Amino acid sequence: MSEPTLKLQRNAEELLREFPVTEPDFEAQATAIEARLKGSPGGVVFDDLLRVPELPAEPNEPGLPSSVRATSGPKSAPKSNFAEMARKSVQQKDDSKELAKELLAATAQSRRPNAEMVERVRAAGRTAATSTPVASSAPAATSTPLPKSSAPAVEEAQRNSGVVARTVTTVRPAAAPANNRGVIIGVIGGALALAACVALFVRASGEDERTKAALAAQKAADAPVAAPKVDAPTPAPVSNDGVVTPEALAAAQKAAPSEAAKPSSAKAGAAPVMAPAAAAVKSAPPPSAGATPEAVVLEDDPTPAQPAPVEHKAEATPEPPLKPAEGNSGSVPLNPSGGAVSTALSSVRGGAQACLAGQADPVSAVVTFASDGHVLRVSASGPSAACIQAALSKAHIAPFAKESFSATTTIRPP
Amino acid sequence: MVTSARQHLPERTDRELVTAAREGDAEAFGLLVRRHQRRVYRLAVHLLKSGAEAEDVTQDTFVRAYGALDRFDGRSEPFTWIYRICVNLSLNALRSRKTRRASSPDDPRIEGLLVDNRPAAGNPARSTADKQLGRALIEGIDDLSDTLRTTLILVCIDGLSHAEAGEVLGCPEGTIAWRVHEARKKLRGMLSERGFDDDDIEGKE
Repeated sequence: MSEPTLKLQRNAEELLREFPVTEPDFEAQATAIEARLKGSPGGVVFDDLLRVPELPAEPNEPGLPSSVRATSGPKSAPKSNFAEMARKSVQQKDDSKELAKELLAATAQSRRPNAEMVERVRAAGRTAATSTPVASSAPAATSTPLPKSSAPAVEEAQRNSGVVARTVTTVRPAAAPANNRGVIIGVIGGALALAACVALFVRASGEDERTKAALAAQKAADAPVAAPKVDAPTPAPVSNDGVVTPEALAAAQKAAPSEAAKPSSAKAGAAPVMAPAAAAVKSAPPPSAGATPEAVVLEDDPTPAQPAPVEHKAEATPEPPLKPAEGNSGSVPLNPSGGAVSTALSSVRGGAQACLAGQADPVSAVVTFASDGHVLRVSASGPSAACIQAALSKAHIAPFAKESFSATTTIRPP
Repeated sequence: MVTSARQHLPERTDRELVTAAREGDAEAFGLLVRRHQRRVYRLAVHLLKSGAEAEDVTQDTFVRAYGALDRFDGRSEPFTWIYRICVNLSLNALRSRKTRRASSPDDPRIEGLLVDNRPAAGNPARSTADKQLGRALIEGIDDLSDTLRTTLILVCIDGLSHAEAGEVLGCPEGTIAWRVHEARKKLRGMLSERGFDDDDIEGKE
């Protein structure tokens, strides 16, 4: 008996080996058997008793085909299916490591060509499985596809056999049309992507040109702000309280003859300051004393030196309306210019002088302008003060940012 | 004369006895019966759990074997051939029963425990414990399936090797080993459930 790998409890092993059993009189039994044999006919065959005992397999028992068990002779019994038993034993993770080792060792010894496996391989259509495999470069596998009707049978046979036929697995070029479709789709997609890139590039280039033009326009817009500083008339002397005297205004007008030569309208007076930025960009004239507002505005002047794109852009853009030059506080100057105040007062001085008709002494009046340009109040003395106030109140200048601006003027009798 | 013949027969092998019995030597087959009837009977007892049925099966085994001597091809040992007949007869008897009884009133194993004369019987405490263990072991063996029980009896009780048991049952040695292992595992678990500690396991490392 083989040495057991799993021991029972103490005394149980011994009891199992020598289990006490009450025994009959074997000699009497043997005699009875001999007596029966004398009367028994020889050559009686009981095939059912000579067959392998029909014992059902255990639930987890390593299985064997029933056909194998039904063999007639004990010697015809197969050796074992040790590998399967060992695997199951290991899978169960029981304490039968020794048994598993024994079974695996027996498997290594009993491994030999299996007729059943050969038959299954043949069923799988792998006739060349045991021969030299076909070289990978051999075109036979791809040029000779299997018949369609045989493919399911081959796959079924492969599933049953557990063997994959190399010749069959290589016969898969039927997927070529799908690959061609994929290539075509890829080419079309790439072309579309390339076209999109080109369009974006072209558009980006146009935007770049427009961006350059905008930057140039922005630079030109800054230029007239600096140019009037050169051409700007000398500011009228202003007293500490902001009162401009007519004498100072007259001196300022003399210092800026071109300014005085302009029309006496408020618009003309403010022209150098209110020159539009776009016109200044086009003209960019060198500062000269003879420059006039009309000369500044050169929108229609075809100067050859001007870059064409900018000119084209300027022509396309509608001319913005004229606006007062912006001061420090915004688009309205902080204080009215001396020329504007002098002009405004000169326009109404005639009416004030009429109030002093018949008088010998001049009258000094202080005209206070509101920020919107109209006269806020007029201070005058003498018997004709009311008349002078009414006459000077008609003066009007351009709006300015400061809350009020006062100017003193002397009205002399006519 | 018979006595003198028997004195010469024990030296003859089972194969020689079978050959002689085939040639009509009834005494030769009688010797074969006496050589193996005890083992056959014990096998039948453990399978059938009944002394009377075991005796009947034992007699039938040898009578049937004698009738089928011409079918013995000589590739295996004669006793394995006889054992196979005994197993088949026992299984037929078990299947002929309407219900599977747990024990029999004339179970020779129970009686054997009661009249156990082994050395441990001198120690009353040990003897009582062994009887309890023996009864638990009997119940454990009877609870096994016919497959495991038959294999266990052949290997562990009658002392057949795995190869010999495989020849009797017509299955590979690995299957015999697995069955024996499985039967032992179940027996040990059953004994542990009944209070027989694993500390008493023989040869436990």
